[in-house]
Amino acid sequence: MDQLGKVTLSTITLLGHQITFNPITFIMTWISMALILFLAYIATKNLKVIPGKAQSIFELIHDFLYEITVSTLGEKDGRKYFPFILTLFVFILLANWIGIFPNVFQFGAMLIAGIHKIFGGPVEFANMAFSVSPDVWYSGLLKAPGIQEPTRSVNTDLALAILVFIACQAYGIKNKGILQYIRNFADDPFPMKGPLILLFFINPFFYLNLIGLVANVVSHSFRLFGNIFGGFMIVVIVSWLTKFFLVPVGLLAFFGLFAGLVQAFVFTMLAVTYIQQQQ
Amino acid sequence: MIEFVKICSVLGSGIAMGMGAIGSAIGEGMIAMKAVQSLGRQPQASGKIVRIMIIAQAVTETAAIFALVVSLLLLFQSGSEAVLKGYTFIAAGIAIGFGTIGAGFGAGLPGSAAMEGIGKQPENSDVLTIQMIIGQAVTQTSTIFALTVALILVMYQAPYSFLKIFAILGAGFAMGFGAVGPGIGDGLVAMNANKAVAKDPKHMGLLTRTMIIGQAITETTDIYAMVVTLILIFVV
Repeated sequence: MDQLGKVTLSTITLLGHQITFNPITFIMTWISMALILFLAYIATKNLKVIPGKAQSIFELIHDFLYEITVSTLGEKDGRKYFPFILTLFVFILLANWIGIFPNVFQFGAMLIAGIHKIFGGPVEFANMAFSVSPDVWYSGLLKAPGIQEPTRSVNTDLALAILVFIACQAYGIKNKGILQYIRNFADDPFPMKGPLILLFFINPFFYLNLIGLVANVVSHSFRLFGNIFGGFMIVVIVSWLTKFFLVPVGLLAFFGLFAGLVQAFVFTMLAVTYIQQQQ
Repeated sequence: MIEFVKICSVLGSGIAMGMGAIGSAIGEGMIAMKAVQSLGRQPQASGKIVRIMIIAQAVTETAAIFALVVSLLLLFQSGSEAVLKGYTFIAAGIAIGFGTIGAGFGAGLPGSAAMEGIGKQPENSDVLTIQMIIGQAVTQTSTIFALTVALILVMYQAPYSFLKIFAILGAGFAMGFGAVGPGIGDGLVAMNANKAVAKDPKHMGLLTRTMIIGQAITETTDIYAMVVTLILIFVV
């Protein structure tokens, strides 16, 4: 349990800078993106007027979010921003749900180790885990890293929040015009008339608005991160305390499926609301 | 010295979870209370009411889950040679423990208003649920700042000095107590926005926008607290 919260890190050197990253997050992000493409291909392979099962699920998600986006942002902008919103929701949902799959490599290796122990192999069993001598061929599989939700890494969440942030600000500049955008930002509680706006730097609220802008991104990303990371920790620790007997299934149903769905929806809804703020 | 740091981490863990359970528990109780009242009024809408009650409670529980995360992180910390680590662990526990009280209580307020509204008019449940989730999510901003500061404090390392000990403890108190008020205040804003939507669902867009502007300004005090906290951690 000392390993709790630790992640595997790789370091590469690029142009003289050391870059540290978590390779499993990368792999899992690509896997979840591939999964979205695969599911979307299945759902839209042969579209029918009376939809089948896969098509109806996708249509349900699409119609539900479309209604919310259009009713919040208006017909024209809602249609324009809808693909972004839908992509955010589907990606975060699958990224949250992918964590409920167990570690297949480790599970298979443990089965092999159990059989090997029966036939007298060099296998030890202690503390709910098998340990094998390192020259056995499946010893690497026993230490294989598990499936991690990409959203459990704060980097993914920050990247998504920054994407939403950029979309919002671009929309604000386009919608209000650059001058009005800066003006809104510089004189928020106290309107400054005419050339007085040039004195925006003496207005303390200008700096507060700047901090508030960054704080929005932080709260947007850490909300998702804290929930997914917290759910993962509860599942790991309670499963460990109950010796992995049945309890993890119920915990994963709540913290994996249900909380994952709610948090994906919360993130998407806040993105819609932040875009609406710039109208 | 390793033992001292371990003692402090265990103490911080207890403070974090003990205090962190207060707010969310009250908030979830309020939601369930209004749900039961609504069920008494509209027994035929029971499926809808129970489903939305569970969603509201799950979102309200976020604050307690944050406290649990920090508590468990502190509980399984191994000891360290650096004495200052012990104080950062206690400060992290104080920051997240007190920081969740306001947001947990506050997130319960819009939830209870939404349950009341659904009890009066079950056909408005979709609009009310969306409004409720946005209100609760924005209300939780203060506890998210507390979580950020607590995680920074858990990871933080600095050379030992007498001034630094009190700066770190002060940072924990600043963030912890600073987050109580904004959480409750945001919850009040969201609760009344939800009541207004329950009466008149047509004006939801306008109400959501006004609610978020109001909540953002309520949160400025929380941002003051966070700025002072970060100054205490990194500058002093």
